[in-house]
Amino acid sequence: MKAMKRLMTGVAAMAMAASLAACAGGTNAPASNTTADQGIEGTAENPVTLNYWGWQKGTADQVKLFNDSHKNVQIKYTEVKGGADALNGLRNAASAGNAPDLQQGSQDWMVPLLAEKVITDVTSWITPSEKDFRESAFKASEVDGRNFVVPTAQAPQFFVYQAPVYDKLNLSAPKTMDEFVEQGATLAGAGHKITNMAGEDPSTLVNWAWQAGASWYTVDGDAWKINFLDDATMEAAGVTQKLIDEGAISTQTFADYAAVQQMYDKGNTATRHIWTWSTNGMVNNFKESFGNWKAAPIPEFSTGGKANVSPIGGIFVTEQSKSKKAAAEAAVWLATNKESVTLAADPIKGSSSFPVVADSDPFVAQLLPEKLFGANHAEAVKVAKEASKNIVTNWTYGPNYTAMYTEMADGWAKVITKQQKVTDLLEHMQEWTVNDLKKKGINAVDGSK
Amino acid sequence: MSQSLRHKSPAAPPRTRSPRITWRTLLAAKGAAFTMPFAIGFVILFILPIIYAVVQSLYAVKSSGLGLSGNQTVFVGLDNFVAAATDLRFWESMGRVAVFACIQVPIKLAVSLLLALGLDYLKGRVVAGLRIGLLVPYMIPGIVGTLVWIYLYSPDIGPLTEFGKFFSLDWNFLSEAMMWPSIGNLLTWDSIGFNMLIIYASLQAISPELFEAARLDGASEARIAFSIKVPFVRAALVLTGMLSIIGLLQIFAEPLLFRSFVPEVVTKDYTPTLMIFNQAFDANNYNYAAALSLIFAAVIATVSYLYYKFTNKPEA
Repeated sequence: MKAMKRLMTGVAAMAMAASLAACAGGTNAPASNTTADQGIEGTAENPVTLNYWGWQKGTADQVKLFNDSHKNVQIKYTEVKGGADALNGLRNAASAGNAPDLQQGSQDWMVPLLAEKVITDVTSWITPSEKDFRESAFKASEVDGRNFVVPTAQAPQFFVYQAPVYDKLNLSAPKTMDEFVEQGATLAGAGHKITNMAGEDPSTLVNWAWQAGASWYTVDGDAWKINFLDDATMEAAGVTQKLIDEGAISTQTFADYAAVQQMYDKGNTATRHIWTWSTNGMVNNFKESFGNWKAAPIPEFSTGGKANVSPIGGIFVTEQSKSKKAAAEAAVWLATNKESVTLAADPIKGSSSFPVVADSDPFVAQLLPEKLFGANHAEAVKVAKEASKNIVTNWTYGPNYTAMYTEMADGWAKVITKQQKVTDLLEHMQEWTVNDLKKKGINAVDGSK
Repeated sequence: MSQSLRHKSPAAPPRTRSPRITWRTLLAAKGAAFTMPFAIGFVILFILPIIYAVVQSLYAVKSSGLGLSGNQTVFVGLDNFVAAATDLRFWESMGRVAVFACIQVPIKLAVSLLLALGLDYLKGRVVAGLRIGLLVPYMIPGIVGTLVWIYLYSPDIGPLTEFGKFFSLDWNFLSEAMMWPSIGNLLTWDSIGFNMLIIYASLQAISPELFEAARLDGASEARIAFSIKVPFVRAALVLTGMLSIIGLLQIFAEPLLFRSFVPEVVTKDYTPTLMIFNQAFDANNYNYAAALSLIFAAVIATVSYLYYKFTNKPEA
């Protein structure tokens, strides 16, 4: 961030270019000792203090709960800016040698951070609590049979739609993606859009490919097998392309969040594939459509069946932590302690985070805002509970996933503005990803041939 | 050194061949000492970072196997520069800002010059007010100014869209075609006062006798402006022109902010600095970013040199 400030206030030409170059020159922290090293353990007189960086609402209160009930270990929580900024913040801190012990993050960071030796193996400290976690969440925290993150959230995906719009057009919730595309055309004929795809956000395509059973990165012996062009991805691409071609989607950017929410509220865009935590934003921004929303299982692809897609959120323990064992155990406590989980799941005090505990059913009703679903609330709860049991874990994030995603987002913008086809983008990503991995010295094979 | 001097000088008369420190040398050293604060800053903030960047640009972070067992930084020679030389996106972004600079800089300078001539013509109390007024955008932090303009441009909530509708004009200032004109307008608005002031200051330095002589010869005010004033502010125009070009090539904050609203238009490699920034902080490829920065610095230095050479010929 210093670099940014410097850039923005820069005065003279060469000085600026030079300082930019300087900022660009960080070194990677030297790879340190083995993961078996547990580090310092605290005592009541001399407790260990763990630094924890995160951004989610309610995390500070979870930490307070932890501190109140633990004597030997205390957590010092620092709120950071979320998303990509948090990831880069962690990387910069690790380069500088002052990474926190614990870092809130998401599944897609795992392999890249592992590759950069920023995070550490937590297998031996999380395994004793394996039975406390939902199986799909625990599985998602693994790479090659080892765990590298303590899962804290994994929300099932489901489908919501504006019932009055659907009733008016005599439609019912789509069972398959083909039906979804058909409904897109019907809705477009009546002046509605079926879903929103923002130009900066290719996540819809990613999720659909995942749901259809694709896996872009797979470990094949000593190499990553890359395939953006398998049948499952092609099916997802076909659906996406049809929706774009038929003008069935809105393309409102999430940068203007209020405008997106207004669009759903007014029924201009009538359906949404959604995770439980997103219902929060709807409730906070809607004015008129309360009680109009109904939930249904996500429409199925011909391949993939009932597969439900959900990346996990979690807490990473860093390689630089001096108390890895204490840190991992604290993370497990935060993820599974009933009080702590209840707080995180709270729509007001917390962030509507869907728990990863073995039995999450008791939390579902409170996670879904009654205000939004009105009389349809009980049914929505049933849908979400069912969905949480179908979460699949066939998806692996590769070591260059974050860079790949940025590259993809650039090309996705051109797909949305109809300057290229979805398949053009996927072909480009196939080539780009293989080349980028090879450039980094990582073994990669083109799995599409 | 001073100790040995003190020790020797009272003892014996100085020998003619001894390396004596004359008052001239001392004076020069004293003078040089005054530049130390600058020199230290220059070395620490300018020379060292460049050397560091050069070193960084010769290395690359490499992994092996599945890439899960950590990275190593290895010496790769000029690989990063070879990759940069063939990186179309980098050169495209460079071309993009170059074309933009060729259009925006002349417009901005022409407007600044006209305003400066206008101020010079008006003189008196009006000038003070106008001068401050035109400088206000320059005093507003660039980020704030950009945010204000993004709001004005916004197709969803901005007043300009409504204003256009009133005249049944359906314009979108954030569309792909309008992006550069929109940024250009913002930059002109921002820097016009500053450029005008520099030109105006050099207008003030012209000897009034010249105007008197011209008036006696029957020259009109317009004639005076174009035959006397403009040639005289040539140096100021060259300076403001060069600063503008250098500033524009490095355009960063504006596209970065626009990007957060219309990422489908302002892509991650839209301008060279944006691309370097993304390489360093998003793709996490510091070494490549260092190589790009050095190439970019060299390009700017070359452009500045050529511009200066061709525009700042001594008066005939």
